[in-house]
Amino acid sequence: MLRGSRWLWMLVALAGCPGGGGGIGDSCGGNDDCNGTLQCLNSRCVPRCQRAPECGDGYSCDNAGLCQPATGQAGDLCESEVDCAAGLSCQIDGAETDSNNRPLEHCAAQNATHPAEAACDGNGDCRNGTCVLGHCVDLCRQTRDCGAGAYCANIPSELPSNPLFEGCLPAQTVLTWSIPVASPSAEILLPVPDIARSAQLVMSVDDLTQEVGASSILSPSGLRIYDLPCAPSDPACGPTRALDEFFGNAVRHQPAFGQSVLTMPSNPRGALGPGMYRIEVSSFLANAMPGSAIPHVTAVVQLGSSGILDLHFFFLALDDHPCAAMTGGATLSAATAQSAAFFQDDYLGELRRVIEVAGLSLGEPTYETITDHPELDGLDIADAGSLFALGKYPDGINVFFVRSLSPAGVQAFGPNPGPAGVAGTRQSGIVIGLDTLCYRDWAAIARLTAHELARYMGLYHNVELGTPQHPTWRDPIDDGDDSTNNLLYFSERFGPEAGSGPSLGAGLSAGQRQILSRSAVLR
Amino acid sequence: MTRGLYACAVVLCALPAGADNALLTPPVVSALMSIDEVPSKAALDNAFGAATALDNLLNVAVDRTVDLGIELRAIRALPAYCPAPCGLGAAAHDGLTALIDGFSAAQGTPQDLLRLRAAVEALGATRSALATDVDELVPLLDHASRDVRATVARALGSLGNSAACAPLKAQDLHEPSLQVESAIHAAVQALGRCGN
Repeated sequence: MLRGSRWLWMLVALAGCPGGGGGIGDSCGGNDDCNGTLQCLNSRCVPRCQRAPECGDGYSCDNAGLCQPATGQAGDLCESEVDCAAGLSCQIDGAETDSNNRPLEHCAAQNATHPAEAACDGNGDCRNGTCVLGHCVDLCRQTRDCGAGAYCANIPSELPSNPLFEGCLPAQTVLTWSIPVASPSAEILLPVPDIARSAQLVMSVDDLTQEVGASSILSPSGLRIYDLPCAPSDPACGPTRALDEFFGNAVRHQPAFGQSVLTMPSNPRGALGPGMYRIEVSSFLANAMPGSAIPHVTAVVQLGSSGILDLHFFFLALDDHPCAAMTGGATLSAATAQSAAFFQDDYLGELRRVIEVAGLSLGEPTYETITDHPELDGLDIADAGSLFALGKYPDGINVFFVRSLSPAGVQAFGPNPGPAGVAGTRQSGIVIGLDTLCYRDWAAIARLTAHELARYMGLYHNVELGTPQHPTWRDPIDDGDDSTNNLLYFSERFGPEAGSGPSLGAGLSAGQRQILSRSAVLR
Repeated sequence: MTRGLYACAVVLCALPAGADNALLTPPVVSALMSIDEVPSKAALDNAFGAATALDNLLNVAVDRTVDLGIELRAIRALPAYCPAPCGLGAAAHDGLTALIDGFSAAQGTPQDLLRLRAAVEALGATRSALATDVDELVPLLDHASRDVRATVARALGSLGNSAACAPLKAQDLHEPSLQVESAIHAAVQALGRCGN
């Protein structure tokens, strides 16, 4: 016995194994050779795992943080990438489903293509054979099967009846991908995973004389949640009924010339999916007849954010402006905006305060001056698309300052809602007319900016100009109020009748704050 | 007294005296302080009462005691009350030309420039095609403010009378501002019958 023990100790010593106290990198023959926070993997003590990918291909990570080799061979049933041996991946390989209506998955040879999270157009583009939401996805059983920062989410498949499967998705990101459309009117599928906070379609046509947008939306349960409102120019419809139908939809959307954006949800009550949304996307002629232009469609899904809003400021040529008294006689430009107190304190300070009332925070802004587009210095809002197309940042919101806006009296303008994750479109920004500074202070300009930002992010006027005559013409949020103090009040009329305090002119209901927090423009 | 004469009287007599601020009820104030849209005629009719909306708008448009934002929107709303063919004798039209005369002669404060531009833009929006309206605006192509000149060029394009071509082209020859040049080119293109 003693002699045997000596041999054992000799072997241990020869192998360099440290016994139960092995540190990181020490040789080992088993987990017991490593200290309690480590494991023995490939004969070396390494930290215990939290996620399977830390173990390498062909391993799972168990509850104790130990890497376990996968045993699944080609053709074996699997539920997760970690079930299949190295060199294999777990793939949905047919239309069959199990008793829980989950797609059947089998281990199969990996493709020599892109890893998880890379952009893709089809399953063949992905090493592990699953392309969904425009990105390669690993199948999973639990979040531990996924890489750091990813979550094992329920995702609708494109199989008949769209059964859900579980795949690894980044827990905090915005996914953007193109959906091909081959005809002027087509049904597209928008897969919405269970961790999605909001989903958006950006639809555009090259022919700016045609409108484009959704004409119907079916929810995953088959409920029709949007129908195209009738055309106000149609004698059988008329402007009032057209607006009644617009405000009556569970999802608020209106096709528009050149480009339109559909954002879901429009209110917190109608939370998203999960599941496959079926959306009819069409182009229309000016008289609401079927169009001939083929829509381009970009899908955007927000999977979580840190609540930071990035703003990118652009200044047209604002020299010799009539309201220069409010800029201390200086020309407002990228250079002055970064240092002048009127912009940093009076404007941005107030904007930060209003954004904080919304439960969000501003990131570090960027500043640029645009001097080569004199035709946009004084902007007719009919030409706003040409200005917004200069919005080159896909993240956050592009904010343009122009000399003046026309029609006179319009102080700010922007899409409602605006596109997230897509730069350079005819709706990629909001615009502020500097003329307003001749009769408002910088704090008021900040609130106007916040109003327009909120509309870009998917909020609607709490009360419309026509609400007194048409009580249903208002925002779709249950806990909304009619206060003139609300940030989304259609008019800049706020003041003593609206109360006072830090939320002056910036009030938001809990439901409004929730919609803002779901916006895909947030980082 | 015709509406046109009334409008002139309003401008001549009421500048800068105040109109009756009882007009500015909460619905009117809300309608005339819209942030990102122009109030429609239907909305203004609802706010003021359809029968008196135009007269009330004209009163607000010349009232230097009201908020400038309200005043500008009231001026800009006047074309909605001048259905085609909008022209001489129509209260909204004549009110606008009187406003332009008044603001052109004013002191030239930044606020006056905004008022002038709103009235010029509104006159263009009437699309009256009247030669007299072209004559009204052409002298303002020489205004010291590039913002006014650009607005005038656009308004001349909107009016739709090719009598504006020659003065626009003449201005283009010595116009120092690229912004105004762009507006002139757009106006000439909009008029369509200016030749080369």
